[in-house]
Amino acid sequence: MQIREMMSVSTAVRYAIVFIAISGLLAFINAQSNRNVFWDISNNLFVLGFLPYFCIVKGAESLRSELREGTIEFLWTRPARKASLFFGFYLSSLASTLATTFICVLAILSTGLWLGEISSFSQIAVYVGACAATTLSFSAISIAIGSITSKFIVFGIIYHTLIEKLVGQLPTSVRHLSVIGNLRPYLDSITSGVSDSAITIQPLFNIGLVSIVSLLLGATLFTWKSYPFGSGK
Amino acid sequence: MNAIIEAKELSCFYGIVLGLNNVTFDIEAGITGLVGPNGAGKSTLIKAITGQLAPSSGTISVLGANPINNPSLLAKIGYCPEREQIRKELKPIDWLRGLASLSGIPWNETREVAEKALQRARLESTHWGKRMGTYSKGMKQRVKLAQSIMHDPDLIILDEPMNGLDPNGRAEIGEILKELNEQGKSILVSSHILHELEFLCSRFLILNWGRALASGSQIDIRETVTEWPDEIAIRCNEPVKLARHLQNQDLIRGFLADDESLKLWVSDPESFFANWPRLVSGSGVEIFEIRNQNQALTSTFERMTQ
Repeated sequence: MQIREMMSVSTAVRYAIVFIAISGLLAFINAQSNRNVFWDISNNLFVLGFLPYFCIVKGAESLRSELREGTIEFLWTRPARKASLFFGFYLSSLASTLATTFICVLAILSTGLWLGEISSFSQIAVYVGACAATTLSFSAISIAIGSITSKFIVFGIIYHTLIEKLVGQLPTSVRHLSVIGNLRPYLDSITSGVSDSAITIQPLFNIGLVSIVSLLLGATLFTWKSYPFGSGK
Repeated sequence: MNAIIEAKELSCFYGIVLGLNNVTFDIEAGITGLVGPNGAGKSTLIKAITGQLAPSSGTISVLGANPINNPSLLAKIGYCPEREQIRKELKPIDWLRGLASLSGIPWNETREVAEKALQRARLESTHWGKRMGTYSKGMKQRVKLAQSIMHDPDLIILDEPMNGLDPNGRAEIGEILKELNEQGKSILVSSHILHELEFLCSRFLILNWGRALASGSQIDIRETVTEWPDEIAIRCNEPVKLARHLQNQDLIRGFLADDESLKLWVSDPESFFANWPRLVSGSGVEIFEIRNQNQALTSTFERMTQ
């Protein structure tokens, strides 16, 4: 149903505005700066900064809005497993988030090609992979938190700013559970040109694992928890 | 007996808040009215029947099965919640198609199923192209009813389906429910509009404070409250004179008279009505109308929940 809502003229206009704004802003900042800041902005500001927060805000929204408005009763009383409904919520959130992410990435890559900052297909592939992994993982983390509490945005931000950084700095292999900790060296490979599988494949595998664990945890909680309905609950 | 819902010593708590307290009842096939004041436990019971709420103790069986985490049972149940909320941004067909798909109907058949359900719920097709956020309460109720019947369930559970409907709308919903019942569907309907239920339902379950006070046909239930006096309303030309005359016959427990009418409280209504011609002929009062108020469901309900 959420996908159907996305197929409207107003959504197309909104995406067009986002595309033009990102391309224009990126080109303007790059032209005004003394040094080359294209990858700094694209990696640190967009992938590691904006995208996780965006996914945290949007990831559990479809689930929580159904709970908030009580319309989830229409779904719960259908002959479908609650876990299937949970994954349905995740996929619908993901479709909405990926659509926005796709427009942003398209704008960034188009600008990068126009500015001559992108010189190979592998740079595009790595960048798209990083954005997709960030969207998949933080949407999964958001909806897992959303299955526990309506304050998923607050707890998601706390998770991103505290736990992610804390786990990423641990001197043991546990640090691989940090999505940001995995993404940083992966994104660095775009500018450094290193294509070692330990840098390109392993981080994506770790992020995938974090996403799957989050989703399974969220689905289990959603199946067994009882929720009060109504605004603000 | 053909019980479709059986509860045995069923209790449901929300934390320390009591929803249902040790209730035992059977609901048979047909149209059953679920009656009770606010906070009586009606919605809690409906949540337990639809598997949304697990019993804290006791058991509940719906169509012979446990409703908790039982998708195959839910395929046989249609549920129309009390809440008015529906997906405002969607058109009814789109919403119903999504829900029909969740009910196991193949996607390419969902449009036809949704359209049939909307026709059955008597929502005019001119409104199908509008977003549901623009709908009136009555139209939303019809869409909600349509989603509860579109997958051809055996048991339809309706929580306050008459809310927000004008008298014509309520009559139409009543007709639809009767039609569904004639097609072999069992219906459990909760409502505050008791006189609507009275004409619609063959049986009732009365709840209050989380307890089942009575269940069965209206006659069965009335028999359980015989210790209360019947209330008889009389319209006549001299109410006070008639009251004094009847009081002298020692057949009434109390009365309330004004200029045009008289209310009597009678312990033994059968004897009262048997003697009525004799009683009234000696009074010299002209009677325009006599009515036993206790024949109404409202009266039974008020007595049970007092």
